Amino acid sequence: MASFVINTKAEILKCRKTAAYWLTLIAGVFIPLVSGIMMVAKQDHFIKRLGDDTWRNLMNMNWQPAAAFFLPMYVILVTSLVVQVEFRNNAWKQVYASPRSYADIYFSKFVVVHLLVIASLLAFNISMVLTGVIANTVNGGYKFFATPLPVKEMLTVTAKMYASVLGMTAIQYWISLRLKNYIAPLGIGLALLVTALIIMTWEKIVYYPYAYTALTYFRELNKGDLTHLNYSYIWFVVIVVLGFLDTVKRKERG
Amino acid sequence: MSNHIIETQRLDFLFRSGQPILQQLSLQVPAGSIYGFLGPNGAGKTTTLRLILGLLKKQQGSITIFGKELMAHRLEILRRLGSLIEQPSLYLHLTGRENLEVFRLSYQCPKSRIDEVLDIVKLKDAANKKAKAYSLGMKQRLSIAIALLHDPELLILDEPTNGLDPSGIIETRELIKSLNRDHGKTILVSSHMLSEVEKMATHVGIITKGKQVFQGTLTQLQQLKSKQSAIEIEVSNVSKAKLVLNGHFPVKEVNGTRLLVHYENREKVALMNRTLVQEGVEVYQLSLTQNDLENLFIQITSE
Repeated sequence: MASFVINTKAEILKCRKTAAYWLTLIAGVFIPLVSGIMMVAKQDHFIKRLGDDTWRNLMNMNWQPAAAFFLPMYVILVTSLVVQVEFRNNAWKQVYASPRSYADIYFSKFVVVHLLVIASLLAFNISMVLTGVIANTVNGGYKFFATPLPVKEMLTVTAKMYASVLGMTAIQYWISLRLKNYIAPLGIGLALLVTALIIMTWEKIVYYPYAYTALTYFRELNKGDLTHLNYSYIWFVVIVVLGFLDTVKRKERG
Repeated sequence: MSNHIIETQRLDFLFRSGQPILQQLSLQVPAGSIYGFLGPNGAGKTTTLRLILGLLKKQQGSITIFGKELMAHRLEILRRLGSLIEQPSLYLHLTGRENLEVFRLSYQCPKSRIDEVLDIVKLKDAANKKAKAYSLGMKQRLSIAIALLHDPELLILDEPTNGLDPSGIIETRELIKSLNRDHGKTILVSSHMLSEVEKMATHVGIITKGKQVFQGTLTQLQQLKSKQSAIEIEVSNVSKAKLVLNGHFPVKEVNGTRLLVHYENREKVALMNRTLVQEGVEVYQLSLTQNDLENLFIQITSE
């Protein structure tokens, strides 16, 4: 276990200064930044629109585009980028020739993907709160200072959104490990995501992992029912196990 | 236990298409040696080294390293060896030092090792530069530094001088020799250049088309080479020359206007020349064939 933690640290070090890091930061702050600019630019409109339940309305304004497209797109990109560090540098062979178990190699990188996703979600929440504070400082008409910050709700929504991408991370991770070409996992992921948006009204959509972020946030789509999250866990466990077995059984590495 | 650090027995490897890459390869790398693993490009050298490192799944035969079966003791074995396979595996966006830090964590060796290996490969001054700014020679040296981090007993280096300029080749060769001499490492180094291997190896294994054609000490190889030396003669009339020499001098091969004759000694060469001229055959050129790898292969395989 100690060596797994140390190797995960090594994997984090490998991703430093790569696009995966920058993307995580940008993906986290992008939507809050845009909504913040809008709140400062069109103050009267947004004071009226955000009303008395200011924080919840702001959350809604930020989460909608994230849930529909940005979050799953980020997951697809970041998973690919984390794995690409090895392909791009011809480094898989050195990784597999170092004294690390296959489980260590497979899971430590996957943990890095998840740490980045969590970091991005945190950056999203923090920058969302910051834009509320800034908007209220610029224009006292906003009611952010007058309304308590719904911390518990923010955490609950974030946790559910994280749960909704679990299945997707496992699938994208496996695809990224198998395909050397960076564009391929990206293209496949994007195609699966766009398909989700097209078939959103299908009665069996709960089985389709790329639709889970939208299903989780836009509750009207499935009337508050969150059973699809259970399928996200199942997808996650099954694909992680299959991906790992595939890694162990591979005839050629690096 | 035998004193062979690496031992493969009857190693076979087929590509998915069924094309054989290795056939019955039995390598024996003695402890404390520099084992030059020689063969032309595409002979199966890298495939062999990848099998030895567990990067390719073994199909037939056995691989023992430090007296233990590879796959059953994979981690234990990998902890005791360092490797460099084909082009360098470096994280180009990280500095030399950061690259070493990544692998230091995996090998769990003390931080002080980073400076020590940088010293050995003479990269201390460039340690804080990004690896993408390194020349090929520096990248190769940093890769060797990575292979040395955990002070392994065995080094496996796949064509470490590939793509280097002459001074880079000399530096790398000297480094390999000093690692063997001063640090007591056993080194398996592959190359497609006989001259290169002759300058550093103590033992040599030669493969061509996946088959082992020679294995022994460097001295044995040199004896074989001199025994196999030949004289190449360019003449005006090959068939007549062949007739003249027949019986007195063993003609090995005819190649256009040239004959390849077994070399015995200088006096025999002079006699051969005289005989040809006396019989009216013009001799344009007469030379001792260079013992490059290609010729050596032809000689060994034609036995």
